[in-house]
Amino acid sequence: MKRYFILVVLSLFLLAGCELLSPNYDYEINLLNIALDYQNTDISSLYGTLNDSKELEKTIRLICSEQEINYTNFSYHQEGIKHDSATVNDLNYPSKTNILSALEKLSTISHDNSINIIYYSGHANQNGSWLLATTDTLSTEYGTSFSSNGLVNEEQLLSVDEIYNSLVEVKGKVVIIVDSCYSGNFYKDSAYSLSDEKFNFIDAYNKFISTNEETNDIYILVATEKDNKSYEPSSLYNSRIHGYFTKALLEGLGWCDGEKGVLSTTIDEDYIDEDGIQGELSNGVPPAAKNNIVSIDSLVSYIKSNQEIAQNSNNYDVYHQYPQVSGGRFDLVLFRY
Amino acid sequence: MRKKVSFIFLLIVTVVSINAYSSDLGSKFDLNLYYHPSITLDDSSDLPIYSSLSSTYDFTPLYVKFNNHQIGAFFSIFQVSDSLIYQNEYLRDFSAVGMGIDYGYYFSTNFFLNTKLSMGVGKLGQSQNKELYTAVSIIPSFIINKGDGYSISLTTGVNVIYRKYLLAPSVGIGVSTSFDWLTNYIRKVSSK
Repeated sequence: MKRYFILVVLSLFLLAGCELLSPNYDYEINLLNIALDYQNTDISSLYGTLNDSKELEKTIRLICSEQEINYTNFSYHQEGIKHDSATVNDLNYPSKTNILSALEKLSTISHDNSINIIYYSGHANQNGSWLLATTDTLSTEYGTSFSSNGLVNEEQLLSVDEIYNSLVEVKGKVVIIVDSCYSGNFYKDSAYSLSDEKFNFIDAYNKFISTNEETNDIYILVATEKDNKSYEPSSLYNSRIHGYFTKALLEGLGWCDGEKGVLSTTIDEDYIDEDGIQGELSNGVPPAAKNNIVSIDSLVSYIKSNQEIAQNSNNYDVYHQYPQVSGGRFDLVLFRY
Repeated sequence: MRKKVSFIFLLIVTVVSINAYSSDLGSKFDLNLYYHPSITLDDSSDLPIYSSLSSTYDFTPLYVKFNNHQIGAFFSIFQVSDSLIYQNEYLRDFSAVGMGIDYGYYFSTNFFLNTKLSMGVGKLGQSQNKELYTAVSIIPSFIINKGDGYSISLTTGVNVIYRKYLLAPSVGIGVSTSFDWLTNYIRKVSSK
């Protein structure tokens, strides 16, 4: 009897000390990848969004390939000055209609073990709505994005609520990664916790005693606060632009774009692959991994430490952005090494 | 079945506890390292059980003694980390600060029972969010050696941290020392 007791105790020590209680978990990754450079419209152009989007897609594709994770990608890119009907009617053109269809498609292909990553790189208005591509084919030089009252066309804006509503039917986990201004609007309250800015003891206590359940199906990782902008460096001084947020995100995942360290004005031709994408995935465990795991928290921790723009407006930094992450009790593992 | 496993965990968990008292000053400092098994009380959760390591630092700046009673108020800092991963999620690190009430009773010259009740706020991983916790500790101490200005006790304890739907209990043993700091200091100075 004594021997059995010792065996039980020893085995429980093993169980408690490692991850034997967590079996290998098979999962798939679906990526919905959206980026716009706005060169075909009268909105100010962005020069890093497409680099960000293409390199992120390739990074995730290569990691999934290495780790034998089933991977599906839907990319929606608006690139260059074209706004003719062939361009605008292309099914992969990031118009509001096409993006809503893509979100719907995500709900049909996703499973309970899916991690559905939605990445957006582009402009957003002050309530966090994504500014999607113009469908104006009539204007000659540029497609216009403004209505007669001077406001952005409603049919180009995809609001945070519309996006969340489209995700109701999506199965598995959803990760929303947004590199745009005011992307902190994607933050949602947690059932158990309160954000710093809302925190007071009475509300926290009410959450503590309430019977609401925590739902953790949607994780967010966004570039900045809800009242702040997201930035990319000037195209005048840099040959290859990335958004500050996505550049650090890519580095954290192990992507090397061939311009190590600070952004430079040179391009190393050796780093341009046959698909035209500059850079390559580094071998080994990526720098954002913590205990050989890349999770949402480990990524945001890496980005905060390594982004090439200040987090706060201290030290007279005019431009700053503070990455935001979901507020729930759980963290989501993306990759294990 | 899950709860049964959790209960066995409780039996094998150890606590390292270092406590320093000053009866003259009426203050004390407790450092506790706990290995936490934890169970969820929420059946709908996908996370049935996890284990983690936590450390607790309690500082009681002032306590009063009368007859066999001892009452104090304390500040507490603790950190829980290294949670078990279940499927593709895991509980975030939880770093908390709190305060509470400390009550103890001397049943005899060799046996002291201390109880603590606290409440505080903890930060969740890399997020900007915070949530509340409560904690209860019951700490019996057996005084095994008492000399001039000091005593050494063997301490056992039960510590339970409760967050919404999450219970983190632990038990263990430790060593506690009590020094009459001020008395010793005055003696040292006056002997010069």
